[in-house]
Amino acid sequence: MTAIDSGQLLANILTAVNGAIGKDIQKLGGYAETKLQAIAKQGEMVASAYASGQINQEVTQHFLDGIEDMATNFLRTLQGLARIEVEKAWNAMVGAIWDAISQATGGALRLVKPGL
Amino acid sequence: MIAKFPPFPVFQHFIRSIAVVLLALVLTSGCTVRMAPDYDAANVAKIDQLSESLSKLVAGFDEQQSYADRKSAYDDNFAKLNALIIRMQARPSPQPVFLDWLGSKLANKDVSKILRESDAPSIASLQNIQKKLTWMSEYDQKKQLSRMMAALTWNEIQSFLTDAMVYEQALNR
Repeated sequence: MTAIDSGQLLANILTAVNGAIGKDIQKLGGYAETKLQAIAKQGEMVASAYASGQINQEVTQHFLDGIEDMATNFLRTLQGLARIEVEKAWNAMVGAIWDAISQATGGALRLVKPGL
Repeated sequence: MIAKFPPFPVFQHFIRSIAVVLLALVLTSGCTVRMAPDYDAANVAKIDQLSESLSKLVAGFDEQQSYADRKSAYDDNFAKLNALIIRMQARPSPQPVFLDWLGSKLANKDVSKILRESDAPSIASLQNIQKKLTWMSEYDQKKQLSRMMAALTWNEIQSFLTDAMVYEQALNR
């Protein structure tokens, strides 16, 4: 059995985690930005429609509640997406540790690799 | 004098053995974590179809036409929404225990509730669309729906559709 180089293992874990979620985090940022812009635009349109008399107070209140629904739904979706990223990061991390243990033991433990 | 812990070599060996057995159990059990439902390409396709038919009804709202002219389009969209919600609710969704724990520690009740929800967020997105479409159809029936109101409703629906689509596509991991 060979010893595990903890410095190398850490580097491998970081590479695996970055590979698994790096691009996703960028996409997540793009999605969040687009959503915030859409919510802000809706606020602008509701205010403008009310100011110009195109919608009455009752309807304005409905659309203001709608902005709250949009924000809550965005938060809920973001939490769901974050959960997927945590899952990917966890599995990538455990996979890197599995590789290190497997190499150190020469495959004697017959480990089941996560994700398979 | 402070004794080094653990003091006995036999005890050290026992602890080490337990640790190795636990590590082996965790690893050999294939500890892949599942924190979200499985990807279903049919759900993505159905959201896409729904988006198209909602766009025709809501974004293409024509004040010259009556509610009666649009009734079948409303019914069709409500049927599609119901079917998709039931389909998504029937899909198994894992709920990791630590999210329950973390959720219970948060002071903000809304955020805590969201964090502890095990349902896919796309279900709530579709339920929100149902709510908005119900409101729109009621105003349409009362002949109180204007072009501006339909445009604002479409912005809301589009927002929920995007949320649902982004999440369902992200499940393809």
